[in-house]
Amino acid sequence: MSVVDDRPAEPRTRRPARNFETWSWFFMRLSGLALVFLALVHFSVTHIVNDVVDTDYDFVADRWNNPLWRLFDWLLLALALSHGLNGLRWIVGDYVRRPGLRRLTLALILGLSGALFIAGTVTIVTFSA
Amino acid sequence: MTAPPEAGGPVGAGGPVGAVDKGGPVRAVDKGGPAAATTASAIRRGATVYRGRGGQWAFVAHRVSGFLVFFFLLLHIVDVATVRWPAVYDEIHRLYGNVLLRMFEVGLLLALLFHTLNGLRIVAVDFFPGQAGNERRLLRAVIVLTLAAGIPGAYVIMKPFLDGRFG
Repeated sequence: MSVVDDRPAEPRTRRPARNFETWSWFFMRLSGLALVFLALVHFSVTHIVNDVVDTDYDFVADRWNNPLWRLFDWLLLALALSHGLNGLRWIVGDYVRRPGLRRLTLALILGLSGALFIAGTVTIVTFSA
Repeated sequence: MTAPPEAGGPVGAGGPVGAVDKGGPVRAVDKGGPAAATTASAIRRGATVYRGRGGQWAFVAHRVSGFLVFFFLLLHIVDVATVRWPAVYDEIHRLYGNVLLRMFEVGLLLALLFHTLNGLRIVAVDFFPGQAGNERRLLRAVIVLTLAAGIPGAYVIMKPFLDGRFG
């Protein structure tokens, strides 16, 4: 990445290639917009409307009685994890330059995120009060 | 990685070239180097550097806040997973009422608010090119709204402690 981009602006009509990075760029914006709603509602419910100390087992059991809250929480889990994973992937791509180390770092964060996605999904789906 | 335009790249560009050599942006992404690191040495070291002033700082803050929220998310998935052992889960959530962890929650709120609002700013500038010229005012709005929502939120989170309950 260069500091000063002296190339003349390219014509507006040129469309970018539709490769994985293009979709990842779109995904960050779309998931981000969804997360504005999901994350802020979640934080308000668990930290502002209710005090964090009151979000105990009974609170969760009561809320997960409603399948819509389970869906809400699962969407938040899936989108926040993938949005964060992709963001971390961009950061690693910018700062971890050695190819082997980069691949190792990416494999580690992908593995960790995948494991936590499964753990979170199992928690939400299999919970019964 | 050359992803499509990120915050602070094209958005905030336009300051004089010298701005980067004098200011923090280079150091912010190039912690290992000497304080007087030049742009060129930062690039040789592989740092990502723009000359975007406010936009550059928004870019750095977006990454830092995103990283912090993601780190908390990993922790949070694990603590919620303990809900199948109600006693463990309740014990952990009593711990969250501790004054230190309440301050941690305030930090989380501020990071989340900034990341959300700055993300909206990025989307606005990317999808409505006319907003690029409005970028500075948008950044000021992000900061003002982060504080306007964050300070009352911080008060609500800390209130049980201030009232002498818990922790």
